[in-house]
Amino acid sequence: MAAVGIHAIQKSFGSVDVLKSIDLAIEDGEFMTLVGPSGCGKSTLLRIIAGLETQDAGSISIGGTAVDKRRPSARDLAMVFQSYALYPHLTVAQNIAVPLRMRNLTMTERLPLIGRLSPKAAGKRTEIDRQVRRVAEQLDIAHLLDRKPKQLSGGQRQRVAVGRAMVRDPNVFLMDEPLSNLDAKLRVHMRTEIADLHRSLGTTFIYVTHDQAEAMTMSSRIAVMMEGDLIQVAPPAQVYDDPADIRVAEFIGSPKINILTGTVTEHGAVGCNGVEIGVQPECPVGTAVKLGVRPEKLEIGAAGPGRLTAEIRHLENLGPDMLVHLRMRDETDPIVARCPAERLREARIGDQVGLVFSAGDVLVFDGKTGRRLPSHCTAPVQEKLHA
Amino acid sequence: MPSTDTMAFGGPSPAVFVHAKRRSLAAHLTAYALSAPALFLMALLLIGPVLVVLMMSFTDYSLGNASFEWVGLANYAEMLEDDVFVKAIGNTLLYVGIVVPASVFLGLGAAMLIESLTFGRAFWRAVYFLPVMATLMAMAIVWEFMLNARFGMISQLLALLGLPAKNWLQETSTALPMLMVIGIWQALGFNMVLFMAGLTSIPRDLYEALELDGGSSSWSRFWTVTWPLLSPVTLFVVVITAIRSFQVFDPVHVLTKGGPNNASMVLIYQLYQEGFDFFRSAYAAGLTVVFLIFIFAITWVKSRVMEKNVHY
Amino acid sequence: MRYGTSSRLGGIIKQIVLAIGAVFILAPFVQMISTSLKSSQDIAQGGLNLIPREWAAFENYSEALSATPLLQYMLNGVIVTVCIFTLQVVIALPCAYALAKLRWRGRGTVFALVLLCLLIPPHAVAIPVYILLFKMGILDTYASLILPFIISVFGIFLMRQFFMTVPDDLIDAARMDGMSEFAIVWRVMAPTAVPALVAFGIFSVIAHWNDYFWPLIVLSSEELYTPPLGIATFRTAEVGYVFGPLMAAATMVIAPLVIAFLFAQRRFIEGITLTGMK
Repeated sequence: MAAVGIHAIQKSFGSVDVLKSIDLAIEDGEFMTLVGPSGCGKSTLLRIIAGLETQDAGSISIGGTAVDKRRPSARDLAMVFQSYALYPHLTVAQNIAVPLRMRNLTMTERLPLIGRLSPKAAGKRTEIDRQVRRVAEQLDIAHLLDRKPKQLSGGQRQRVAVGRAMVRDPNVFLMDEPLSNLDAKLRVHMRTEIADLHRSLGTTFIYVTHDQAEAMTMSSRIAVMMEGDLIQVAPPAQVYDDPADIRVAEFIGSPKINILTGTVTEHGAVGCNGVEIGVQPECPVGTAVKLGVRPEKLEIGAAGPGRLTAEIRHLENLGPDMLVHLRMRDETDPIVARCPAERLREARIGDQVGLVFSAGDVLVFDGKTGRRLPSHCTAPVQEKLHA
Repeated sequence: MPSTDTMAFGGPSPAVFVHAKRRSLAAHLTAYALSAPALFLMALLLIGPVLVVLMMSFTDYSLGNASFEWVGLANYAEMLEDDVFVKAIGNTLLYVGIVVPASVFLGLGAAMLIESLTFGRAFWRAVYFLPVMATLMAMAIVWEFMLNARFGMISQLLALLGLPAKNWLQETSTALPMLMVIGIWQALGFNMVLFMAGLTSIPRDLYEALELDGGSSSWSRFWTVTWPLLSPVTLFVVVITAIRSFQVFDPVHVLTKGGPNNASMVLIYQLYQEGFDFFRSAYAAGLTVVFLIFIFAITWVKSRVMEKNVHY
Repeated sequence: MRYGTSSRLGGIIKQIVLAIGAVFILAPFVQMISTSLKSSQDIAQGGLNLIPREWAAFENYSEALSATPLLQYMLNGVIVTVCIFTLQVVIALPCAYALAKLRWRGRGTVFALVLLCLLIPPHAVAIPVYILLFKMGILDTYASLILPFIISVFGIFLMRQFFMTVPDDLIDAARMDGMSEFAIVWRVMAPTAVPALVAFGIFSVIAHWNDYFWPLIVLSSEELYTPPLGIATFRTAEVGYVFGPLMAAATMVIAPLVIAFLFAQRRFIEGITLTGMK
C-alpha cells in the first residue's frame, strides 16, 4: 500500500501532445479514477505509472520513492487490462499462479520436468497453490480453477484477471477500463464487486474509464482529464455539484447538464434569452457567460413573462420519472428536464412551457474559456424564481 | 394471390408447397451444375488416379503393354528386397528428419529476430524470402556451381583457408547432406514468413501482463507467451515442411541422379525412375502407394496433435 | 515498453546476426550474378573476386539466349501459367460458390471430397494421368502441361472460405434483381474476392512456373519446354567451361518472379500467409 505521486508528466507521440503536464498526488489506500473521453490521455498516464510507457518528462513516485528507472515488474504494481490478457494456454489456476511462480521460483525450478525434482521447489509449489486457492475463493471462482480462459464467460475472465493481480499483494492496483467489454447489467454488478474489493483490501486503486457512471459510483476521488490536461481532481459529489470547468460539468452526469447562453447585466444578474436570472458571477458587466442547470433541477410550469419558455419536443417515460426534451428558440442545444411523472400527465408534444428552477442551482461558466466563475445569488436561494 | 406465409392458419396451401418444392429442385440443379465441372475433374484427375494407382500396384502392368496380370502383393514383396527402395526410404526419412527441424528452427529464429527490429524489417524479410521465389531448378544449378571443386565459391573459400576442396555432390558421404543444405536454404524463408504472421498475431498485452507479473527476461517471454501461442503455426509449418521435403525431386534429378551409388536416392526419384525411365508402371504404382501412406500418416499425426492442443 | 532487448547494442547485434545469416541466403545469388558477368578465362582463373576481372556480360547473356531458345521457354512458362490459372478460376469459383452459399443435398459430401483431395500430392497421380494423356494422344503438347492442373482443390477451398465471409444480403439483392446464380458468381462474388484471388494466383503461378517434374515427364519437344526444364537442358547440353552463360541463363530464368516479388513484396507475403493460414 502506498501513495502514488505523479510529477509534471509529459508525453507526446509524434506531434501529438498526449499528456501536457500532469501533477497528481494519489493518497495511500484511496480509489482514484482517471476519467475522460477517448483520447484524453488517461490510459497513457496509467501505462506510464505502470512503466509500460516511458514519459518524456516528469517523474513517478510510489511510496515516496521515484520509480522511473525501475522495470514494471520491479514497481510492485498489479494491472488488470481491458482485454484481461489471460494466458490462453494456461488454466485459471495456472494463470493466477504466474506472478507467484515468476517471483518465488528460480528459472530452473520453473522448468517442466527438471523443476519438479528438488524438494524445496515442491514446498514452494504447495504454498503457491494455497495462495491461488485462497484468492480464487475470495473471488468466487474456485470452481473454475481447471478451466481454460476460452471456456469462461466475460465476467469470469475478468475475475481471473483480478485474481492474478490480487495474488501478488501489490502496493497499487491499476485497472484499465476493465468493465468496458462486459454487457450493461454485468457492468453494474461488477461495479459493486470492485468497490467491495477495494474496501476489503484497502490497497490504493487507480482506475481508468471513460464511463462517468463508473467514476461516480466507485471512487474516493475523481480526476477528470481532457485533451491531455488534468481539469479537476475532487470527490464525486464535488465534481458533480461544483465542477471547475464547463467540460467537466458536461462530461459528468447523465443526462447531460443543460447549457444556456447569457450576458452579465448591470443589475447584478445575467440576462438569458430575454429573462433575468438572479445570479451574479464575479466578472465584469457585459461578459458572455454560459449557465448550467442540471436536468433534475428543472421543473416544468406554465409559460409566462419572466420565465424561460421552451417547446416540448419529446417525452421519455422512465417509470417514476419523465425526461422532457425541450427546445428553446434561441438556444442551439436541446434542454432536458427530469421530473416526476405525475407532474406531467397533461404535457403534450408541442406545448409551450416555462422552465422553473432556483438561482442557487445555476452554475456559471465563462463564455470563452469555460472556466467556472464563482457567483452568488441575488435572489433568496430557496425561492423558486422564474416560476 | 397465393400467400407466401406458410405458417398461417393450418399450414401451407398446396400451391405454396408445390412452388417451394419446385424452387428447391431448381436450386439443387443449379448447385450441381456449378460444381459439376470441378467434381468431374476431381474424379478424373485426382480421386480416380489414386484408385487406379492402388489397383495398378497389384498388377504387373508396364506402359505400352497391351494387357496385364493381377499379381497380388508381388510388387510389395519386391520392394522389401529392393536395395534401392530401402535406400530411398532411408534417405528420404533422413532428409525429412534433418531439413524439417533445421528449417523450422532457423525460420523461427529469423522471424523472431526480424520481428523485434525497430527498422529494416521489410528489407530482411525480402532477403530471407528470396530463395523461396527463385526457381529451385535454376538455383540448384547455381548451388552446383558453387560447390564445384575447381571454380565454385565454396572451394575457393576453402582454398583461401588452406583446406582441400571436395566434389561435394559426387561423393557418397556428402551428396545427400548437400541436398539437405539446399533444401534448408529454400524452406527457411517460407517458414519464416509463416512464423512472422503468427508472431504479429500474438496480442501485445500478453507480454505486458507477463512483464508486470515478473517475467521480464527474454527466455520467460519466449517460453510463457511466444512458444505456446505459436503452437498452431508451428504445427502447421512442421507438417507443411515435412510434406514438401518428402517430395524432394528437382535437385536430385538434376544434380546427382540419386547417386553416387544411390547415396542420394529418394522416394520420388525412384518413383520417377521406375515409372518414367523404365516404364515399370505397376511397380512405380506400388511405390506411389507407399508414398501416399507416408503422406497420410503425417497428416493424421497433425490432426491428432491439433485435437489435443488447440487452445483457442 | 523498451527495456533490455531493444537497447541500441541489442539492435546492432541483431542486425549483425541477420547479416551473417544473409550471407548464407544470398551467396548463391551473388555467385550466380557475378559469374554471369565473367569471361571464361576469368572463371578458370579461380579466386573469390565478385567483380569480374574480365567482363563478358554481353557475351554470356547473348550466348545463353542463342544457345537455347530461352525466350521461348519463358514464353511457354507464361502461356502455361496463365492458362492454368485462368482455367483453375473458371472451374473453382462456381464450385466454391455452390459450397459456400447454396444449400443442396450432397454439399457436405462434396466438401469432404475436396478436403480429401487436398491431401493428395501431385506426384501420386502422375502415373495414371500420364497414361491417360498418352492414350488421348496429347503427350508433348501445351494441353498436356495445362490440363492436369486445371482442377485446383486448394483454390476451391480457399475461395470457399473467403466466400463464406461475404454477406448473404449482397447475394439476395442480386437475386432479387434477377441475376442467375451463374451470373452471381462472376458479377458479385468474384469482384469482392480480389484479395483471395490474388493470393490464389500468386500461389498457382509460383507453383507452376517452377514445376520441373511434370514437364520433364510429358515433354520431349524442346520448343515446349518451360523455364525449369529449359535451364536443366542447358546445363546437360553444354558440357565444359561454359559456366558464364549457364549462370546468365539461370539469372534470366529466376528474374521474372524475383523482380515481381521485389516490386509487390507485401502482396506476395500476404498471399503466402493467407494460403498458409488455411
